[in-house]
Amino acid sequence: MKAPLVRAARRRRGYATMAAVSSISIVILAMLVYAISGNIRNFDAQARAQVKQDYTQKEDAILNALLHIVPNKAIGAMRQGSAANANAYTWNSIFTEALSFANAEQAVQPQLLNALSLGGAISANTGDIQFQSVSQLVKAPADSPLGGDNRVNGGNWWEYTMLGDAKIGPKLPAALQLSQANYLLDKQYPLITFEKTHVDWYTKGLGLSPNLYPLYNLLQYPDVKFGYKKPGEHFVAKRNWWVFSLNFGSHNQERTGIPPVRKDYVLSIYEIPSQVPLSAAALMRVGRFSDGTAWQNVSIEGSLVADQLQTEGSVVVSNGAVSARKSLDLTGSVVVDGETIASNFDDLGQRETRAAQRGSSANGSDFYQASVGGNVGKVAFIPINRGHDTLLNTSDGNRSERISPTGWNHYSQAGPKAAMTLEIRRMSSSSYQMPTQIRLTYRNSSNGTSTVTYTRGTNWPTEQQAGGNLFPFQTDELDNQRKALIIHMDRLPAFVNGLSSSGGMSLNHSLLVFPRTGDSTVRIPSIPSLETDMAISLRGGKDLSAYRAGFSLVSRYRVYIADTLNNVSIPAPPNSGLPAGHAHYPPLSIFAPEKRFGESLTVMHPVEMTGQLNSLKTGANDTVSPLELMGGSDQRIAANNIDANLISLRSPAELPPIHMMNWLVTIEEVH
Amino acid sequence: MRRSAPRRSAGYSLIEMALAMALTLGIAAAIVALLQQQVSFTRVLGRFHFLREEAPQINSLLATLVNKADSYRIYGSHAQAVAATGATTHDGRALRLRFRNPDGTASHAIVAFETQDGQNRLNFYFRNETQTTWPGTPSWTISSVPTLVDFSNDTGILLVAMTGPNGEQITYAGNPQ
Repeated sequence: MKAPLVRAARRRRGYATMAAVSSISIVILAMLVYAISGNIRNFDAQARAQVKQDYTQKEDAILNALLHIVPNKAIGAMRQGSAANANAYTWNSIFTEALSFANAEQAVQPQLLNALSLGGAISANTGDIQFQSVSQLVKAPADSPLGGDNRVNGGNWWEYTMLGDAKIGPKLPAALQLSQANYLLDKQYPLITFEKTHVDWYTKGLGLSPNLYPLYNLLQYPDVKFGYKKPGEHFVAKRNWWVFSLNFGSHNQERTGIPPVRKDYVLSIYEIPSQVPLSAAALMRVGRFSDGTAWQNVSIEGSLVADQLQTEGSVVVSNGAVSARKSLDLTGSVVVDGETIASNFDDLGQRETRAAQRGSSANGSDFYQASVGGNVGKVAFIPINRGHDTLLNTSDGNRSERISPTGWNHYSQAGPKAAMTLEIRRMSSSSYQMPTQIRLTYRNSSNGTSTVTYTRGTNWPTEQQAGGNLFPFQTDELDNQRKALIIHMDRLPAFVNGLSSSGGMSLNHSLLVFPRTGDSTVRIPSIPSLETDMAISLRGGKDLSAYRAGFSLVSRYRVYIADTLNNVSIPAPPNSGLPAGHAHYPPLSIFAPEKRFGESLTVMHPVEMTGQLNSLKTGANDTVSPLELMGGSDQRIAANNIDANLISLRSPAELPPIHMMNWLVTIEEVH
Repeated sequence: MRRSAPRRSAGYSLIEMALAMALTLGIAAAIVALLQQQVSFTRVLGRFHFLREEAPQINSLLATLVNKADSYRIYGSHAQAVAATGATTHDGRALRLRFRNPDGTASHAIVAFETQDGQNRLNFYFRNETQTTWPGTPSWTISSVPTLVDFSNDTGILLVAMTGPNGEQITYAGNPQ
């Protein structure tokens, strides 16, 4: 028998070491995982923060693009022919263009990437997006009563769902009224028209009754840095507005993991009739005459606004500001509301230091009495100035040829707004520009037009003939031998009231004098005028109290203001917002390429004036010297012979029938 | 029956033992070094927690707030911001923001760095357009990590300098609309 083989049990060795090494490895691995996961979390947080920043900046760029696109589209929709290409003016097109201008779909432009040889790189920016449709980004914040897939809700009484919305409704300005047909247009296009008016249903922020002043009312100037007026100050205007919502990131939320935030914005176009003491759409120099003589006896109450503004010498402004769209060059002393404006007022850091020093009196406003358009945030100021074309009467074609009910020429030119027209149909000869036949078109009692032609020797008596001394239109040769059409302002109201089926002076509040084209004897006046061109002279205009609706004269001809004009005050219209005891004069405006104060060659009458001065100059090389007033002898009126009280309008009751226009475009968020 | 003689169990020589112990000590030292390195790395990461995680979040929030505002003012304290007195351009501890609505009304907010209950906090106070007084307690606390938040604007740009618990500092810049 074999003895069993007994093997000694072998001891197992090294397991403790393995356990120790494994444990330590696991600990280290866990720490590494923790560190890496922390890193990933941090990267994710930073990426999300960056995408949010990108969204904010893209939104900002879109809004800035809208500021410039919308007014141009609104103008385009008023032009003849816009109806044939209506798609170019829709809100859809506007937002699509804004997206493109803002490059809002990509963080870096493809051209730039190609230049960096990164054209083929895969972007890790999850915020980079390709919109299939602008509706993925822009939506009307409220349903529209008449349906439709809209980008905006217009600020009008048809949008009652939006006006009653609990979130945004209480923070919106007064809505306007318009017809249903125009409302349907306003849903699709940015509509600017005289047919949008204030209504007594919505009076929030209005200073006067909408029933009395439906077109232009007293509004509070918005708290923007561009100082056409001061924030909160009443000014004469109409506010067109639209609301839209931006939802950045809503359609690629799955990709970015960032919940979209809806932001509601109000885009406004304020229509602002010119109402500040001095304004120009060109370079304006104030403080001195062109020969270096300082202004004397000039008081300025209100703002000075120009494309470029240069001040020289001493300029003192009260209750206003000095503002320019492009540049503000201050030399000498400029004092606004008692505060001296330094030439470096707009430098970096100056504004902030100033804002801090102004303390609580500014109530958080960043407004300052001097401003330059490029540095004022989301605001665009646009003077509607057609230059000398303002004096023309250009047709807008048929209503069906454009989108807006109001044509651009009618809106921007003074000529088409004139209630009466006086056509110079025939002259003595082409070398002797003395009218022998004129044709008057006026508003009749049903607000239609009636026409009468007056011919010398037939039904147009001379001053010496029977009835001639009652006829408002006469002819004369001035001291400088210019042939002139004399308008006797004192005779015009009675004459107009006596016309067949006349609409009276309330309807016939303005006159366009223009030459007939196609007649060999009638020459189109040059600008500047030739000595052989006909001129117009206003006589007998001291008392214009019969012109209760005011009066406007528009003409390409040189205009002489022969004697005192409009210095008899009348009672201010009731509920017009004018203070008691205010000396109110019938509002008067004269649109002409040249004006002369007085007819005499030898006597230089002093000129005392109260009101506003605007210029039709628009050229890049044009310079406007607003007080460079000329006398009948074509000599500049001496500084000591000018007494100018330049003031702002205080009420729409002071607005003449024809006036110049400006637009102020703003975008504000509804918080 | 033959019985085999018991085998003498083999021992380790002194050299073997010395070598084994040296290897063991070497491995142990390496493991300890690795652990120390890892702990240090984790500690360093922890020190950067404020810069890496907290500060970007605060910046994102402040940037959004400031961008929505139409104007702001810097004050030395929360109390000054409430009273809207003593606006400054540097050494600010409170930022007062205004959010203007299209109808001219405005809501306001204050972002204030202050000490409450012995703890530093970056607080947010909100007053809507219908309220006339500020809330006594913060609407919410943005962060309680920074030991100092300094608002300044000496150059035309709003600077928000934040100091973390380890003295680390980061400055963000921004401006309103």
